[in-house]
Amino acid sequence: MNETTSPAAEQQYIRTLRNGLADLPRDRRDMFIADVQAHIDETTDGGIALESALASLGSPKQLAERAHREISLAVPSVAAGARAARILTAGAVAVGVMTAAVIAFFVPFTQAVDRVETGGSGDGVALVTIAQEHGPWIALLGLVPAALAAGSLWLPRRAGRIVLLALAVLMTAIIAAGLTLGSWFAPFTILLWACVLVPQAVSRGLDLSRARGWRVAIAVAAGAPAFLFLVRTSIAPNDAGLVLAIAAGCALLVAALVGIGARFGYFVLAASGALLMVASGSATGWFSLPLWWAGGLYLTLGIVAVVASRVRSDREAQQ
Amino acid sequence: MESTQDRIAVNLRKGILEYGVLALLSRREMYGLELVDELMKRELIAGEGSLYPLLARMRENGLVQPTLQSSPAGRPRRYYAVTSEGSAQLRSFATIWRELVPHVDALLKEPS
Repeated sequence: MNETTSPAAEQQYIRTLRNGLADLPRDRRDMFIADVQAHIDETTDGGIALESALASLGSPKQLAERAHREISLAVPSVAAGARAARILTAGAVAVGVMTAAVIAFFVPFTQAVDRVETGGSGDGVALVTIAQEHGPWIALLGLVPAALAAGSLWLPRRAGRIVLLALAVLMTAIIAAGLTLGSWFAPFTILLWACVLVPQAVSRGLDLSRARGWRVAIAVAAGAPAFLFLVRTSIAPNDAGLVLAIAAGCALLVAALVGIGARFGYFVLAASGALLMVASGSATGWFSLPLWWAGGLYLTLGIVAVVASRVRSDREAQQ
Repeated sequence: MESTQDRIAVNLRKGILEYGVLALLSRREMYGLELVDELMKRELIAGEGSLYPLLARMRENGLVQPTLQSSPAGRPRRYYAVTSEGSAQLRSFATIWRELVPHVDALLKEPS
């Protein structure tokens, strides 16, 4: 065997290759690596330099991309997992941007201590948003989490996942630390966790159209806030509560649809989540944060349900 | 930069390569390097980087099966064999190819 290139080069090649195949089920990944390793061994056994053997295979990144593409064609769950990652990340970026806009321009942040004369509203305290206090450029700061999430889309698979995980942990810590503005990032953060956890599960075969247990879990998670709200409203009814009670009733209906696996129910769930977030963001007062969170939860659950369930034509094509 | 000729060749080969592999393997089992040599001889493949991803897909679809066999080099070799499903697909391709080729030839001969 020619010693002009060290075996370390071979190890590095295989390592880069393995990283590029991180999204594949382990057995497929191992089989492909074994094929390539056998090829390298055959070539060097035949007296060819390791350098040329690796060069003729092409860059490990490109080889991994090609392998991923071909195997995705034959293993629908792999393609579904990649699609889930793209859609969930895009959703996280959108929610992140919305959050940045809301906290900068709509959330009352500081109270002006001097009582301001407002035209007979009886409410003498002026609430200012961050943008009013510090200028609109402050919104750019709020965009940093969304920008980081967006950046992960341009990185190679494994690096992108690591960035999303790190961001999810960081955002969770910020929320747990109890900073007022941090809690507005809760929907963004649960979407980030979905980005980290769901695509891999889908690649490995998670399919809600067949996994009733997961469907029911999502339905319960979607229905619980609505149910709790209805219980609370029935104990202490009020006018605003009637509209929200009807909304909560609809939420329970949607949750039921999700539980039985009606795919349009997933879309309705996601859409109602988005609507709730928009509605809460423009409202003022103490209840807007819980609505924002509920909306974020519904949006996340809805998107997860959509990407983690395969349409019948997908499954039929597999047979 | 890729010329038009290269692009046409690449696209044509994309559709045919799989069946070239099946045809070679239906004669006898081959190991990776052998397959690469035979395919390069027939200008069906540009480099090894194209073969192994394709073999992975074909294996996933049940068209080929890898086996380990002892070799003169001492290290056991990874051979690829065609499966019955692979042979069936090759036969279907052969039928379609024989029907298509005369039509394409005739089209190319027709006066413009």
